[in-house]
Amino acid sequence: MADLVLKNIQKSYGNHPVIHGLDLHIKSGEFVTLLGPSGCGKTTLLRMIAGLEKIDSGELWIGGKPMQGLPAQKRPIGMVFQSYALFPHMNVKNNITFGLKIQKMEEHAIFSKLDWVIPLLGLEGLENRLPKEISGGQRQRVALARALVLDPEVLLLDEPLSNLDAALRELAMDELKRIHQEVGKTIIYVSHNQAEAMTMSQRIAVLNKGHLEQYAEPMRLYDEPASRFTAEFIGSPIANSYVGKLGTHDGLPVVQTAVGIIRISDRCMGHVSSAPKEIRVCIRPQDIHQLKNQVLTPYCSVFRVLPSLIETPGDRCLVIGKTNSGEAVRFFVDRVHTVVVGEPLDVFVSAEHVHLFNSENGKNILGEQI
Amino acid sequence: MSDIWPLIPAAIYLLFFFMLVMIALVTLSVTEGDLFPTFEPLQAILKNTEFYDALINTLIFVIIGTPLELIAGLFAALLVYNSFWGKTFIRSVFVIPFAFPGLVIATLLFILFDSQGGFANHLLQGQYSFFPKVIDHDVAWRGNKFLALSVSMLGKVWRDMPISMLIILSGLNSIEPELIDAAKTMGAGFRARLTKIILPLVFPAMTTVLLLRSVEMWKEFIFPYILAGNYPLLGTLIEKLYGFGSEPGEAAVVALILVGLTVLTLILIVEITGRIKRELVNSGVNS
Ligand SMILES: Nc1ncnc2c1ncn2[C@@H]1O[C@H](COP(=O)(O)OP(=O)(O)OP(=O)(O)O)[C@@H](O)[C@H]1O
Ligand SMILES: [Mg+2]
Repeated sequence: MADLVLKNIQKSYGNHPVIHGLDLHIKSGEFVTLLGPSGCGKTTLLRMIAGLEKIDSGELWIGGKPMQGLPAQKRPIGMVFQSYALFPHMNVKNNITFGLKIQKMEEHAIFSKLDWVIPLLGLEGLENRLPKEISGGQRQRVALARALVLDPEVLLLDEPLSNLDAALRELAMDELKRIHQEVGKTIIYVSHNQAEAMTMSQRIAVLNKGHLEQYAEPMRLYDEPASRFTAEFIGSPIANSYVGKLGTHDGLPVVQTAVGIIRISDRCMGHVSSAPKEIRVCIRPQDIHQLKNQVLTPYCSVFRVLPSLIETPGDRCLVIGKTNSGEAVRFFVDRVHTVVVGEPLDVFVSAEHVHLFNSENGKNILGEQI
Repeated sequence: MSDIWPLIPAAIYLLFFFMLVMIALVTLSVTEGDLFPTFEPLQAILKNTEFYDALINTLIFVIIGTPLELIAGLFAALLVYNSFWGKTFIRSVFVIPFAFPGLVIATLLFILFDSQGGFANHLLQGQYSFFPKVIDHDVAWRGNKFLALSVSMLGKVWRDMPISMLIILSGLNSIEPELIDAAKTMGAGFRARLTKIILPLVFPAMTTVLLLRSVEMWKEFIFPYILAGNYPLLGTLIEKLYGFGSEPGEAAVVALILVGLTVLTLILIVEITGRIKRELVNSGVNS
């Protein structure tokens, strides 16, 4: 078992704190993504796990063994760097076998490793090329092969796809998922691309300014964001966000916003009286639908918007409209639906898609003690 | 082709002076008094035992001194590169010898290694409490070919080491730190990182050092001139023949031979290092 446990990890550069008391438990064989905006400390965290950066305080355990004081070369990890860091003076084969030769593995064993990893990553025919003689995607696969042959308990990947074009990236994502299924390693993957993280990972750790915002399955992050940051960072385009006040309407829990009175989940009932006066309301554009002749449940709220801009990026149209009060509302409609700029229409949202956050600390009110 | 036009003036300038010197040198080497052209200077040199002595001395100087400078520079550079704090300070300390003219350093060594008394003799005779007594009598540092040439070679290597160090250091600094990190995550300890990553990657810088330093060693003058007056190298022999011996033709012949040997050495170094480089790239399992 190679569970990876981080306990209250802290790190500062000089007197500039970068990671603030972070706890994380990654299960053996799990594919976890560290997701967060640029500069939030993802690389720093990965380098601390690898032993390339000192941990100021806290504990790091891999497979039940403490890692404190263990240099990088003794840790059961493999790492793929953002820049790949292939050795420029060694051909592909020597890059891959570098670590094996350090371990003084016997030559026939090295050959069988090569025979396994080269087809696995589609590197046939490139064995004798230098890194500068292969493409970016091929380099990435060599970097991965180089880490895989060492059979580490934990594989650390620092934005390995960020240098690839969109098509190659999709391919590489599929490949990475396939390799994870095939070799079953614990993988910690760093990304600032939420779509990439959502497709690949079993769990995602959302980081913001060195704090762990939420650690959960992708769908859970999407459906139940624990903080306003997660709600806005996960999903694209950015969620609609309004100021609101909790209250009741006909005995049912609602939030009053400039958009109108919006019905909220019954689970919020307990918060209605105790909640702070001001609240932040987030609704994803994907969760607002055009009202045609659907039968609405009592949990749906309807409001009228005036479309002011329509973008057609692909199979759906993004409509940007305004309510009577001038608040902007972004939502999607099918391409076949004819929405015309300047012609008002009704849209609705269902209560379970209305996310409510404490205005002061940004936390989801459902997670807070009443 | 059009790219080279801006370089033409510089090329003409260099070529002009190089040609001028070479033509003058060749002319001088086939002139003996009023006789021109003549092989008399060449014949005189080939019969001169002092020339063969100087040739062998210089060869030893080159063969030992050049690698010595490479190694000294490499060690100093690695020390600076790996030092945790005070990098700039340590580097400055190492560069100090180069801040003084060779003549000053040579003269300093002349005083330190004086044959009567002198700091080196006093030190070895145990006159300083921090050093044990090794000898009873003064050593004639300049009266012995081996000692005289050794002291001048060490002086030369010490004075010029900073150049080698700075060249290798710039090579070290251009290595991506992530390469070293990657090697660490693949299990490489300090030794493996040094021999398998760092040294191969600074190999081009080391080649540059060998090329530059071998030329310097062939043409060395000031240290042996001051410190080994009785045991000429080719450089000091030229001066001796030209000035003291009033044989400009013979001096020119030696100078031409020196140029030829220098060029030959450069070709040899390029050839050998090229081979080593190919070895490095292709070494490994069955490739
Ligand atoms: N060696 C260093 N010295 C000082 N500050 C550093 C150092 N390395 C990183 N930082 C700071 O630490 C913070 C986290 O950096 P880190 O590289 O971990 O970010 P990241 O999440 O990987 O960002 P990106 O997505 O851009 O790669 C940043 O604010 C950065 O400026
Ligand atoms: Mg990073």
